[in-house]
Amino acid sequence: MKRHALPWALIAPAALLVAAGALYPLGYVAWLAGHEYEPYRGGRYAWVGAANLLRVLADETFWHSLRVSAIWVTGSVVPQFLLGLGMALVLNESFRGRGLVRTIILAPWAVSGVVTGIIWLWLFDGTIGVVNDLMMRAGLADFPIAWGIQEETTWFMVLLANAWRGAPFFAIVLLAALQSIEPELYEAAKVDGATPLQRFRHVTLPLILDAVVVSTLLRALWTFNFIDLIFTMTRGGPIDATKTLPIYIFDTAYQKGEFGYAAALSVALCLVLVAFSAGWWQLRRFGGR
Amino acid sequence: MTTRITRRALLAAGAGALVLPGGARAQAQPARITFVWPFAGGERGMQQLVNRFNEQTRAIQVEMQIVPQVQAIPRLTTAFTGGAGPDCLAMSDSWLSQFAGGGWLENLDPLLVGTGIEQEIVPGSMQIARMLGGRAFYVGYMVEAYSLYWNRRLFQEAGLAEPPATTDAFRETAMKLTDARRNRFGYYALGGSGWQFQQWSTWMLNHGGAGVDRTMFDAEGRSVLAGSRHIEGLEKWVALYQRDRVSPPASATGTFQDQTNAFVAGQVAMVMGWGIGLSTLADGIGEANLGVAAMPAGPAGQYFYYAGNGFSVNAASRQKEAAWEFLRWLLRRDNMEAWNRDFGAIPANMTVWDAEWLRAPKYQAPMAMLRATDQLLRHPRHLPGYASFQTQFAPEQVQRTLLGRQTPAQQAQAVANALNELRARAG
Repeated sequence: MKRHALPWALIAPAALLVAAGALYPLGYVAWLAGHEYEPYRGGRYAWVGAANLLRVLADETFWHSLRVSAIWVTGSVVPQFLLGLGMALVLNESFRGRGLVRTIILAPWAVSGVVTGIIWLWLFDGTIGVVNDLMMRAGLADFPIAWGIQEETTWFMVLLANAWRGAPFFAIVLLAALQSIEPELYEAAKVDGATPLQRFRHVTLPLILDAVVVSTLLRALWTFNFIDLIFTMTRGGPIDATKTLPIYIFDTAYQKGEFGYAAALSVALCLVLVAFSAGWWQLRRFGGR
Repeated sequence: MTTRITRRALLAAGAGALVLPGGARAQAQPARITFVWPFAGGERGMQQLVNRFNEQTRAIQVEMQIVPQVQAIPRLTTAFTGGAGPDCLAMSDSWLSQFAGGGWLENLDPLLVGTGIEQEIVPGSMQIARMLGGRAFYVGYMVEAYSLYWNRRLFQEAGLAEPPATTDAFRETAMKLTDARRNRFGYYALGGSGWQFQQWSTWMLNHGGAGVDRTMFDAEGRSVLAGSRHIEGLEKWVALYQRDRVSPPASATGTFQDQTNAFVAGQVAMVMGWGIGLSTLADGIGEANLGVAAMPAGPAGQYFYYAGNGFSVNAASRQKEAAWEFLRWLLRRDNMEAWNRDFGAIPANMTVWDAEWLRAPKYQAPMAMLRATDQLLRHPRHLPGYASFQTQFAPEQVQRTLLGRQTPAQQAQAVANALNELRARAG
């Protein structure tokens, strides 16, 4: 009995911290979702049962924002992953100044989302933007392009900014995975006559698949919840083309003051993310695990 | 009965005697209060005032905390709902409906009695302070009028001397100032976040007129903004962007910051905004070059938006008296003059209005608008949800119109419906 008690006692502080730091807020949001709670109008809690969740299902803006969030996540994670993988493959080779390059590549990851948003917004600014200036000097445009008034150009702008910021994360994670592969495996593949592409497909990819799945999953979850950059750059516009679910939830809570309904939207968001995570995790099977 | 004094009792009495002066000292400990400054500018001048107060008033010590403006609503809401938060704070009038509506701000009416403060504050500011239930939840320290800013140099280059006084003259002036081939435009038709509502609704109200008591509602409580004359006003404003092309294409989704950049860079000759941006614009193009005028009049008159910032006391504070004493000190004429002069704003305290520095040309138009009390609009910022209307709903609507996805009539109807709904929900 004593032998079993010790491990429990040792993990108890950590378990309590997790419960206080994660489970309590989650439980509170779920509880709040069953209430009408408008703190800016007196703040009384009124039990409404599943009414808020049913309202979510009938809410057009919710479905629109969910679609927008899917574009935002896919459009962010895919280029970030590809860029990050490319960087990791390059950094995995030996060359002079590799340490310095690694440090430089990491720099965008250290910049906050708001600052990244402001930097890229100014680069694409219709009046003082460098991008327009370069394009006009190169003869690619006669007049400054209004990047923020068309959906396509706005998406291009925000996804590029997010790729710049997010790619280093993949580069570092994938580089660590690449460096854990034994060189003998590549040598054996070479002896067997495998081409570089075949070596990547049959040696590298299976051995970094765990890192790929975990890093893309983490990055997708972060991007889904990430409001700073896109809110700074577009405020959800033009019109509502980039209004992601977190932007909608923020507006519902802090501008409209409907905290109960905002909690219901958050529960829906949480369910979507849990389902997505469960599905994504199954990708590990392709690695033969 | 005899009383035996034991050695232990004697020692205890002696210890008590020693502690007493310490207790008195404990009572003399200063009251420590927290004061939140949630704005991007003016913190330096405010910190200087706080430091001076702390030096002068040993009985109260104030700790000033700066909260980034973008985080002010979430952070303060979280603190207030938990019964915490600063003892007192500076705040925008646009947050009053949220914070006072939540019951988190102290009613200052009893504290104002006999102080003479209210008599010194510009009436419009006190009207804002009392917009919820007629009780004063803040005392203004600065006021501002939504104004037209123009670049004198660009006007001179176009052979123009004066800013337009009417909406029709505005169109003509903007067209003369526009040369799209040179990337020069007369005006910035703001469609993104940053108080664009005040621009296009001015055209609507100055064409169709305001509602009862200069509100946006008629006697039956319906929004007046869907009226045919109001729609006509909106059509004229939208035409500036769509037909006359006197505004940069990017302005349809541009923010207040983009507008400021365009004005400072000399791309546009006229912009509209609150007085809070006065210093930035003056620094950007030079004070001598900056003209400030009233918003143009329409066939139905000339109405002005006004706003301000003020000080409030947290209703849950245990140091309300100390907090109020600090705020009273801040509201003194000399302090208000010092801060507003440094920041370039118009003080809410009218006794300062005769100061020499407020005779500068840039202050004249806003002060004239603020004095025109029968033209000041009372927009429904007291309605719960109005913050979302201004920051999310209105920009989406006007962007839809400017980008040709709906007509001005559809926009006017959508806006009127939204206001009616907000009013109905407020009861």
